[in-house]
Amino acid sequence: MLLELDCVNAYYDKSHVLQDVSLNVDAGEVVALLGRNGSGRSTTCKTIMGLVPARSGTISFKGKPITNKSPFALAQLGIAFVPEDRRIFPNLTVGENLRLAALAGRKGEWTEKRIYETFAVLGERKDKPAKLSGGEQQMLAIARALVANPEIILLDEPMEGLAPLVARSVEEVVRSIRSEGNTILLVEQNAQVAMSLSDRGYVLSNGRVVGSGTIAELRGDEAMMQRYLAV
Amino acid sequence: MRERQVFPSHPEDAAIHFLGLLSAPELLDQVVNGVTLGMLYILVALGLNIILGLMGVINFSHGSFFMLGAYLTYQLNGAIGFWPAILASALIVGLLGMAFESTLIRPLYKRLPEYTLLLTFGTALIFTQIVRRVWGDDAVRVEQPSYIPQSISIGSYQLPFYKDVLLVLLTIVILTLVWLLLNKTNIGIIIRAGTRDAEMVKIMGINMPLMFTLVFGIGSFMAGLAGALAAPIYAVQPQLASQWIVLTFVIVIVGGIGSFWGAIVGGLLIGVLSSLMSLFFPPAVELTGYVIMGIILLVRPRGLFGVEGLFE
Repeated sequence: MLLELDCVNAYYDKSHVLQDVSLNVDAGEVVALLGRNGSGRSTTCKTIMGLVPARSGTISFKGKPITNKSPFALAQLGIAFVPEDRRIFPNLTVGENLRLAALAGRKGEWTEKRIYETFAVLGERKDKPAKLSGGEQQMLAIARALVANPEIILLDEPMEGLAPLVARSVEEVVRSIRSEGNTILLVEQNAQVAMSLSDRGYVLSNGRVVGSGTIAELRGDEAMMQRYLAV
Repeated sequence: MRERQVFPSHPEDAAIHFLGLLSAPELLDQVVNGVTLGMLYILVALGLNIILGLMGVINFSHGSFFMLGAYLTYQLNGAIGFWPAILASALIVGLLGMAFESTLIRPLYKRLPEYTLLLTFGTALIFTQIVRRVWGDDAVRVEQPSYIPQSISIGSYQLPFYKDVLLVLLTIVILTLVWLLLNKTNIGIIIRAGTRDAEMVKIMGINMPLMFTLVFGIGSFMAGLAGALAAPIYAVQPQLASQWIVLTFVIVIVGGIGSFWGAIVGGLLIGVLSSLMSLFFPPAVELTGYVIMGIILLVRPRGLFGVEGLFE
């Protein structure tokens, strides 16, 4: 098992935002976290990344406990986090954004050069400040994760706030990095899109895991889909 | 050598100056004076600004590091010589800054910024008392070495060589090195990115606690270096810390938090304008910086080169 959460509990002040969340991700899998807004999907990513403390429970990575480690130590272990607000550095160039990500990253098949070959729009602007449109920002955010050659990418709402056409192109990017065997924990508001990109899924509601299974199993459980995902 | 300091001591003298009796050399004198002063301001303010921009630490002990740089140079000058003393003083202050950050400030990052403000304000008082105890209340003087010429002639104009030529040139070299560090190195990428969003830099695998200590050391080094270089020009006394820290904050606010060019323009602006004010209306010299700051805060609260959203 690459990543495993066992009965993780987390709080924002007094509100209990993750309640006994258990889930796992195997190498090479794309696993979707499904659920409505506020169900705890993004918080799950932040807790894995050490940004929201887990008050109890265990998170382990490749069999070793990593609960509440510092974000930089987790990144160095091979966990990349693409936050939903992307957090591009607009005062750096596109190239510097990538170089920063590669600094503490691991060596691997993804290099700055290969990023520019894959994402032409980034290559054209590598020496320009990263003042980008929403779609380009998302491309750069994903590229920053890739260039660190991580073992797993936590991808939080990659299509959020994008125009439909732009969202489609980001979806294609996610599909293509999936096809290369990358491991992804995907948070996506649109359940249909999320399921089309994933192997398995967990359904969250009010901070609890209320359902899980392969995408086919989830699709088969119409009552649950209706109740928690309203599709 | 012509008497350089032309400070009119009575308001009526100032009025005469206003009436146009001011000579061109006097004006030039004060501009040159202001540039020199501005250069030192820049060194101190840039160190403070990098620390404030990256870590959000409002370091009231920064002026103490300037003062310590001057006193250490006084102490070491006789033993190891002038230039080695300056370098050693700056290095010692830099190391002191790193120790200071990693022991006293680090536990407070998760708290409100006011905690570090209060802490560093308290330590500034302690530093001043330590200096009083070790070197006394009275000012001490650092002599510049005899091989440095006293003055240099440019046409009919005489310039003090160390103060108005060497110091300015040295500062330009130092600022160029700092610019290269910020813009052409990986550490610079980390500092610039961290000034915007330190948590995201951490998410990308950079050991930010270590970077914070390093950058605090660099900032303190610059304050110590400025103090060391200023030692032969100013009377080295315990009041240096409090005098400099307030103006340094004024410069940072005028120039813009976290901005390299802001510190440079702010330092020169306040240095030159305060100097000129000493010709026109000496009682207002000390006010100059605050008036400029007041105007800036009203018109452009983020400072001349400040970034929107940063600490707003």
